[in-house]
Amino acid sequence: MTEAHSEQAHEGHGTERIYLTVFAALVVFTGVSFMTVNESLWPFGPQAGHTLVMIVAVCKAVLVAMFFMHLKWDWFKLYFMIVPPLIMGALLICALMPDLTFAHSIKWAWLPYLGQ
Amino acid sequence: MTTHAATLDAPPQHMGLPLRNGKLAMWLFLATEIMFFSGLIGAYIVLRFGQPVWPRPHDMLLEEFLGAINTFFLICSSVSIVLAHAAMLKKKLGLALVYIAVTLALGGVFLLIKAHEYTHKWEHGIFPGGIHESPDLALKQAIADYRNKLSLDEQKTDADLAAALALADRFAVQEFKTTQAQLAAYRELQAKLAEKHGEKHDGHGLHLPPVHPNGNLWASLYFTITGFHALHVLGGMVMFVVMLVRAALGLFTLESVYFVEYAGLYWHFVDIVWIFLFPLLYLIG
Repeated sequence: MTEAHSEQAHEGHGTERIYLTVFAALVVFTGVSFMTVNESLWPFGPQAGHTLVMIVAVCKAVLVAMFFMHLKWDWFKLYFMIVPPLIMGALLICALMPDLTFAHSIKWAWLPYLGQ
Repeated sequence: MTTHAATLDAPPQHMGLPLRNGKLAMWLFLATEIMFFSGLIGAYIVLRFGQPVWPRPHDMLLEEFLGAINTFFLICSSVSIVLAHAAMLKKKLGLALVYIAVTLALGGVFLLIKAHEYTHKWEHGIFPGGIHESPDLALKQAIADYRNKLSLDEQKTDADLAAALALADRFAVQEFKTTQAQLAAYRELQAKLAEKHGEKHDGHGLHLPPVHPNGNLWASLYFTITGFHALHVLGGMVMFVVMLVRAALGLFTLESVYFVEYAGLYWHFVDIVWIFLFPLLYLIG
């Protein structure tokens, strides 16, 4: 299928309705994220709140990428260019994890030697 | 030899991807942008979670409400640019231009709110190098400022102020074992001084600035990450201005649908970056 045919396929009937539905979902997701900082609305503690807002952020990003960036239709033409940087980005953070894990022990390791 | 010459003369093979070159180039650019922001966000995560003490968003004058409003405006702008593209595919050029103008305006509102946040922080000394991280140094600086002010005003301290200064001096030479204990003692002193002098005499009293361990690191990360994001927003707005100017000159036609699509892809990516920055900076902190 050529690109022109592909566009006609996903820009056909009801496209605006899909966009507005996604928009409504994004607004609701933002509201849910905002709710977690209010203790009266979110009684489950900050840890659960932080987990939720990150899950919500991933859902929002997937919605924008799938529908607004047309990856729902173009994914198989573009995945080879999108997946590698995502893997590299995740690897970058994983590679820095030891720095994070040992930060506390390394930071104060010099204290006993102070003044010697 | 003949075969080799034939190979060289053969026409270049098409890649076989049913994509326009412009779209492929934009996605390639976005792939580099993914790596760029992964580096920035990764640095934030590692530096933030590697510290025993980290400033809370409210300490750094970050308001969740403003962050949420900015998220809302960026989402609205994403919808308006995708609707502009849909309108162009349906040959509604006028409607598409209205949506592009709306997107431009929403991007402008986002930047105005960001500028307000930056100014507010700057006025309160929240910028890299401007935050007191150690109670000792903040206190010594406050005492020096206060003594200087008293001598300039040719005033003498009354008994309460003398007692406050003595208390502060004692604090300044004390040795604290941990940052947490130091901070607790500093805040206790702040409360005592505020109780002693009250707001009425604040101008004459010893003013203790807030202390935020790792505040300068926070400020460096905040201004770098949100600053680069704001520059990307500005870049997108320039594209929308170009479209509107071309339309005014009669150069923007239905043939420009691909320009709108590529600019839209870029704009959605900028939106996605903010979708992650909002919870990381404003909600989790």
